Amino acid sequence: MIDISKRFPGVQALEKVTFDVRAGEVHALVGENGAGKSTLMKILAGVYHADSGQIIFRGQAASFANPYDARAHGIGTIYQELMLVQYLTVAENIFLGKVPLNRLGWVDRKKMVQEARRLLQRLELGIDPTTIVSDLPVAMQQMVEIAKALSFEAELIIMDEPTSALSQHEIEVLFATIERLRAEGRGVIFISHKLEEIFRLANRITVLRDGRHVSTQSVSEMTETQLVQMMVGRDLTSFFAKTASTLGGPILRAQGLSRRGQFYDVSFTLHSGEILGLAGLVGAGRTDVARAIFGAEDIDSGEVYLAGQRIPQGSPRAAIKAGIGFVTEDRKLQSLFLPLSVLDNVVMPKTETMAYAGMLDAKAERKLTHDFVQRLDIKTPSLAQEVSNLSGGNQQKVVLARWLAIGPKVLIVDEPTRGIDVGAKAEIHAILSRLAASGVGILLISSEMNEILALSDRILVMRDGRIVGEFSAEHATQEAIAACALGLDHGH
Amino acid sequence: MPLGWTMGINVRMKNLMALLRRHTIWLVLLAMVVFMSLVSKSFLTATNLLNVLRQVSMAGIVSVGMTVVLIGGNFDLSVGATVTLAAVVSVYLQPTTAMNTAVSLIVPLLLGLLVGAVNGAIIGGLKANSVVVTVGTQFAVLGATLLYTGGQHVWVWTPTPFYEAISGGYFLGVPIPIFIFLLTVLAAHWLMTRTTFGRYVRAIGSNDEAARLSGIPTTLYRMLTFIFSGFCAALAGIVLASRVKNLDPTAGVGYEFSALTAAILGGTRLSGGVGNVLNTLAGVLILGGISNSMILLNMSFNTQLLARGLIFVGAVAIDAFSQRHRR
Repeated sequence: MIDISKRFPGVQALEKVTFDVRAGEVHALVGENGAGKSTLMKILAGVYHADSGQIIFRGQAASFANPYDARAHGIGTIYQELMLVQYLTVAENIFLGKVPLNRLGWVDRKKMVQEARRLLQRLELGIDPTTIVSDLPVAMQQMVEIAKALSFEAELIIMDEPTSALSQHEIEVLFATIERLRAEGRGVIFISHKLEEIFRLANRITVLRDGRHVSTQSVSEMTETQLVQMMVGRDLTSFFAKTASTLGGPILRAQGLSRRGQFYDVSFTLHSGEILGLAGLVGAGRTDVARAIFGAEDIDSGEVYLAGQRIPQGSPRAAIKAGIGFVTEDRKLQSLFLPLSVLDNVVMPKTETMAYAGMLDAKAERKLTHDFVQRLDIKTPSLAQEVSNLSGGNQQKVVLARWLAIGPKVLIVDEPTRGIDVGAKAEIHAILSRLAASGVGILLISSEMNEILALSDRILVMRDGRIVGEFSAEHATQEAIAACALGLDHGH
Repeated sequence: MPLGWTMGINVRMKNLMALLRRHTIWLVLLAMVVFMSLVSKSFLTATNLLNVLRQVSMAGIVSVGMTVVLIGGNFDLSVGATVTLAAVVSVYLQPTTAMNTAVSLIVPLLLGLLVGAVNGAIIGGLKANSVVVTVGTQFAVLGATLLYTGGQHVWVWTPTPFYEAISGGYFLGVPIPIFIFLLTVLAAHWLMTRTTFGRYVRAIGSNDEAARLSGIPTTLYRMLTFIFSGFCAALAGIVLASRVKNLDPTAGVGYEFSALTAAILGGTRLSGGVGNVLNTLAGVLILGGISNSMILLNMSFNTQLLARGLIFVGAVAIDAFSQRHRR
């Protein structure tokens, strides 16, 4: 791709970006949200058309009319959100749109299954092609996407944040597959926010910032710090900005929480001013426990006390009234009102307390929202802006603002920085750490070990629905926690 | 080069475009009025316009309730049947004395609230699909109405002047139904923009789970939208009864269709969360204008039916299209 430029109304998304991938290479594409990574890849995959510039693929000038065209030419894309039909079989998904037919023009099921099996074996995956996709774990579904791309003889495979929904073990499976693709001489473009993954996998790294090309270097020539600096264009001395806070008394106490099939006998105490990390594999039951404490899900037995008062179970309304805020794992599905304004989104849980006899106090609401927009540095043209138009980082800040606005005693944050660029991530870490310093108790769930280690005062580890280990900040190491989460060891 | 100057124009143009996009429906209305006044001399006369307004007021009142339900993320297809029920019951109770008139007004309104509450309880409480449930209640209500009247016409010969005035009276030279309609519009607009109710309904319509996790009693508010819609339908039924006085017990059938068309024309998003009662007003006026034009242009009933169907499908297509093209 040479000198690619693309303009959207109001933004120059890409400005003369040049980018190349070699056969047998994993090339990482990094940059903050809005840096132009996705736009560049969408141009390559035929979703958008460049305003100027040239694409040369396998020695020939190429221009793809649409995604199907690009795919037929050997460019496969695997998006963050999987594009599989959940209720069809693996084989049917792989051959969707080009089903093998027999002489009568009917679907040749046998051939389809055989071909699918051949493709899956090439990836050394033991997936049965007749399995219904929804029965597979997410990582395996991703493998099916890869097999699908390979069925088009893709020479170049674009992966946009492929690991964001995967657990550690599943990531390993994915990486092994990527290694195999590389060994076969295919090119892989790997977009990720996770630095460890980039350094582990990539041959070369290209950094984009504000739609411009910043650098392309081989991995061996670069350090993590340099990379982060290049991405944000400024020195991030305090990458994780944990302010020291003094622990207060117990504020939230969970006692014997159980829900069949999800978690068993979960008890812990959270202190005011404390950040309590909840580590574990995806599926270990951390989110379920968080949702149960907030009342989003019922429990079979157990109690939750806030400042000594028992809070009724199964009612988010009661939890909020008691002073608990909950930043959910998936902000678009569970937190945001996408078509509504920034103001609506921030004020929502405070609507009734701020209203007078059911009538909104527009002035007070505007002032409150304005204050939080400034305090959290939310980048929005106005308070009336539709939240769907904000970037991921700013959307997440809107969710945080919502819960800060209720003046919480306890804040539960589940994957607070998922899919967010490095700059916004550091800001969110700073916000959480300041919040703890002001006396709020924070329960932090994260699959990013660095995040948990850097922010937490204390770490609990969950495995198969039970709390299996506790570490103080001083004694926690990545290895010890991972071992505990995997059940290889018991920590204290 | 006067670069700053062109940029200023650009910004102003953009704001103007955004403003226009939000209120496209009013421009369409304007265009229609201009077109019709050129085509037919009798269109742009005070008598004809007041007539159109009076005619649309009943469907208009129903549209207001429908808009609120749609913003809450649901459909209410039972409103046509509720209009019928309210109208029939109102006439059946013979508003010939002051006492009876009061009963003829209160009972149908209560029935409207009741139908809404039943819809709301099933949809709000059990999270059943609103289209299916309200198609069901539509038939149930219609059946109940027919049973009540034995399938016969109901009529009232000499209603009280007050009852007569609901549809036939004038205030400041403007027919009373128009006032009832506009008051409903303004009240609903106020509810949707200035109150807790409006904010919660938008929230529930745009993301039910997020609404629940924000502490909103979603079941209650979803139910309230249906109760509001049932009330609007009953109000429209009373206006209809006062106007016709001799009712076929299926008189209100089809109102749900007009109401849905008007709301969608007004830009109410079918996926919930977004909509504006004032724009629904514009949708109602356009629909009314079109049917009036078709009458003035001597089109047959069948042609009108075809046109209404096409307008409906067109409006739905525009809604779907604008949804797809939101980034």
